Amino acid sequence: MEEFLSFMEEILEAEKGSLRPETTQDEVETWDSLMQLRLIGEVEMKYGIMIPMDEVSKLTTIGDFYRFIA
Amino acid sequence: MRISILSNVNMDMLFSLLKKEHEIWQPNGYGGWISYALRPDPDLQAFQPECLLVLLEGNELLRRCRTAKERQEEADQAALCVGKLAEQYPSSRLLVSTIDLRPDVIREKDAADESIRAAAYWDECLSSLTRKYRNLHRFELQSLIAEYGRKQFYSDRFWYMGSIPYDMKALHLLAGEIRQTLSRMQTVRRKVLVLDLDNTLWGGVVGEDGIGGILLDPAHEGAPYQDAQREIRKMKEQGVLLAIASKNNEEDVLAVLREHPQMVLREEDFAVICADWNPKQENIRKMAKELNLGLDAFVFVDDNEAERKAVELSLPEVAVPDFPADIAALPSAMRQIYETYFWTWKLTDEDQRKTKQYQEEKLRRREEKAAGSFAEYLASLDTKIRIAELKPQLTDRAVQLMNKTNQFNVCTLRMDEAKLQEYLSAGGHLLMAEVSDKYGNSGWVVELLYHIEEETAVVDNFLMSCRVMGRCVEEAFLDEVIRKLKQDRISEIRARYLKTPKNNPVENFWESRGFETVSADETQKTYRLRLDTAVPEDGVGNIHTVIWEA
Repeated sequence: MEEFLSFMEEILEAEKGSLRPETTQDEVETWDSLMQLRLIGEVEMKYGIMIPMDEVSKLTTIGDFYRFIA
Repeated sequence: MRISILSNVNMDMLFSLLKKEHEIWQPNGYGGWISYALRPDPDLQAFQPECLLVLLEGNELLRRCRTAKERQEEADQAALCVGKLAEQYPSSRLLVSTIDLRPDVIREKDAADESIRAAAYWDECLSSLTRKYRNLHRFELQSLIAEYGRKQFYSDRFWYMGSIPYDMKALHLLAGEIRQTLSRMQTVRRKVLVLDLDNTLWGGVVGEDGIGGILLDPAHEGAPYQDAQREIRKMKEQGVLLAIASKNNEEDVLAVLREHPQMVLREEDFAVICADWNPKQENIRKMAKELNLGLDAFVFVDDNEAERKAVELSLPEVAVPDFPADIAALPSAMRQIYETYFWTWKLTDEDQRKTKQYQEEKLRRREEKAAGSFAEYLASLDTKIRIAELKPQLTDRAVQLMNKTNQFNVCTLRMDEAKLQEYLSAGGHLLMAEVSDKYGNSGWVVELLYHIEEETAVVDNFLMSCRVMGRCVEEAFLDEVIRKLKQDRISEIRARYLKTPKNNPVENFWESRGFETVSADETQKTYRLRLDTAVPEDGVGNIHTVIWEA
């Protein structure tokens, strides 16, 4: 989880240690709709997974992404 | 660099990937590239992008087209818009992508795949655009996609979720390609490729194995060497000077170059051949002197790490790329060397004639040694100097020459094409001269920039390629220009010398031509020449034939 959080922080350009699993999209300034796609793309690329299109709208917290790789 | 990207799809992701290294202007919304072409955007104009990248997603561009005719019309329309952008941003480099089209699957399979034809049609459009607009260049998107593979490059999910045609990994790749292109745009092209021979151009050691024993053939182990030679010959055709630095007996080397049936490169392909037992760094230094080039124009290729290290340590300006461990990679290593050190947008005629010109120079030097006196030598050359006002087909050369000439350059005034056009439309004149003699044509090598103030001609710069230095060309040229100015009722010429670390050779040039020094300090000198009293002396330059082009 630690590693995943810092990976997300890097992409979101968020301060180190600022993200928690329950952090929501609204709390992170850089997390707009384009960033949503970027996060999907970067997570897929790094962890070799695929998030289906109909799941995308349900990804609203950091933890929602983590579910796919855990 | 200040850059912007216009596209017909959502490329916003690229901005976040590139913003760390580059200053970016982001268009409003996405996909609206055409509106920027049709209406100049004041914000974008104020931003003054150094590079404006137009990334066209071909499948989207032609999505609504059903016939070949419609596809052509759409491409023509896009070409028109690209041309408008080139005109609206004359000081920006406009990079326009080739297009990749996914195959047309749903068709009778014996029928030609129209997508291939349509992509090729756009390629043609781009070629004529790059000929028409000199600030417009190709961006090889199609090859990038082909190299990586369509299946991985495209993402249907990203497309339907956000109008982003490409996968995340592909976007990183594309951002990398853009980064690389931008950085290449800022590097200066090198000029000389210095090659080792044994185990570099062929397998084995000619001094030991003999001419019949070296590895060089169309198949098996000798084939990579031969293919690498083909790539090197292509580089030569792209204006790269080739040289040999080999520890060998010269006669062995010449025997291979002249007689080996499988050699692709021959003696005449090389501007300089150094085959002896001197340290290679010394030979490279000698070449730099002989070719009149800086060491930073050289790239040195050798399979022997000790040789590479020696050159690297004693001549840090010389580029020394790694040599591939596996000889099968040699041809692709050569392609990589071209991309890294010799990459260029457009070749001038000068670039293509270089090797021959340097060989001619060698003959001239031989003649100079043989002649009884300098005047005799000059007379024997039968030099012709052709003077012309700048014309459009010479602009590339004019800009190239004024930006790379360091030694014979009295004011070292650098201008890009836009600046030059500004200078000319403000009343500036640019005279150029082409020099040829019995050994060959040295090309357009002299430039004089001046403007007229009432009855005075003010020289803004005078420069000449070092290629023709020492042949009294500058004197013959200037005498003729002075004669012409006098005829045009100019009564005085004013000129300057601005000191740089490299232009010592012309420090006393104006004095030597009879100009009177008006002021002088450490950094500059100003001069004048009264034409009502002074008449140019018949110097040694009048041996040359000087003509004006109509």
